[in-house]
Amino acid sequence: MREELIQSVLFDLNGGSADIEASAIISTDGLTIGSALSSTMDEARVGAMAAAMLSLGERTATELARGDLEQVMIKGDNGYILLIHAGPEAVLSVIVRKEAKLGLVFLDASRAAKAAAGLL
Amino acid sequence: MNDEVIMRDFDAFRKLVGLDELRLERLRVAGEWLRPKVAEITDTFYERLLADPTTAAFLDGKIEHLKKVHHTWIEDILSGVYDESFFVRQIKIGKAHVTNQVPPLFLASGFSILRVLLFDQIESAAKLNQPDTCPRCSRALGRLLDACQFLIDRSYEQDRLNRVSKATGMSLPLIEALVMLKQQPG
Ligand code: HEM
Ligand code: HEM
Repeated sequence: MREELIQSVLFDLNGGSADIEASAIISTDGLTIGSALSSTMDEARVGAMAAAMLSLGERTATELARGDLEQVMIKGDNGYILLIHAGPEAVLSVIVRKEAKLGLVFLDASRAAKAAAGLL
Repeated sequence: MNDEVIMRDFDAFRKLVGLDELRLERLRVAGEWLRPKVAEITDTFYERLLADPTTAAFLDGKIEHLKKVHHTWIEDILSGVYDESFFVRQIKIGKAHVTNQVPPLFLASGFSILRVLLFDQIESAAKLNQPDTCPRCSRALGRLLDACQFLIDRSYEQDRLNRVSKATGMSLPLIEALVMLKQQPG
């Protein structure tokens, strides 16, 4: 039930924006709680890496006195990956096209993260 | 990876190396022969450690204290009691060496030296006493030493993972998940 609700949050997020290619909710231990990824993406790999990036982002923000972590953004020449806390125990990972309007994506992603956090 | 996980792995290990009742009985026999020799064994152990300049430098100033500590451990492995708390103790001993920053190489050479010393003693004891009382005691003692070394070594591995966890904020289960990811080709 909870998994289905989370799944629907992810489908809404992906469906609501043409800029979002895929997304997943992952526990801070790296386990995938729900995902709407393409078939070429390895769930275990995406999960472990996203959780690792979030941990490192958090640690680095603290180390350099940047306060609580809000998000981690990774930019490649083929697009972006966005990581946002979904409550204290999970992370929303969003895979974004390179032409994306980031402001809107941030907004949608934050909303989805909040909705997912409420379900966890 | 906590002590419980180490012990769960260890149970599998104990089965694999065959520390069963027969071997434990042989260990008790070996213990009876060797217990009077512990002081001599410890002295020779230290002679060997002090013959190497790197271990000698490490031991400088602590020899009297450490000799007592290691004497007690050799008595313990010859005591004939190999219950779960014996093996949990070996995990703690591993942690003590990690805390005291004893290089893992020193422990490996320590075990190597000690094996030879104990086997030599069993051989000469067997020659002096009844040669056929316990022809396989050395093997049983070898198995016990392997088990102790395995548990002590695991502390070093655990310590490295704990350090990565502290430095990165990644939980131990997450680090385990990263370790277990399928290797990508190339
Ligand atoms: C005394 C302990 C052991 C030693 C010294 C040992 C040594 C070796 C060596 C030299 C190779 C060849 C490596 C190469 O291709 O360059 C090998 C391969 C392998 N060993 Fe062991 N081994 C030991 C224990 C074990 C055990 C207990 C298992 C499993 C129960 C195991 C499973 C394998 C497997 C699956 C391979 C790969 C074979 C292949 O290339 O298809 N080994 N080992
Ligand atoms: C056969 C391998 C070895 C065994 C089984 C062994 C066993 C032990 C034991 C039982 C302790 C006490 C742990 C405790 O306080 O709970 C200990 C402590 C220690 N050992 Fe070893 N040891 C070995 C090799 C070595 C070697 C080769 C060195 C250094 C060259 C070393 C250095 C130390 C040090 C520095 C301590 C801490 C002593 C203290 O300050 O309390 N050990 N060892």
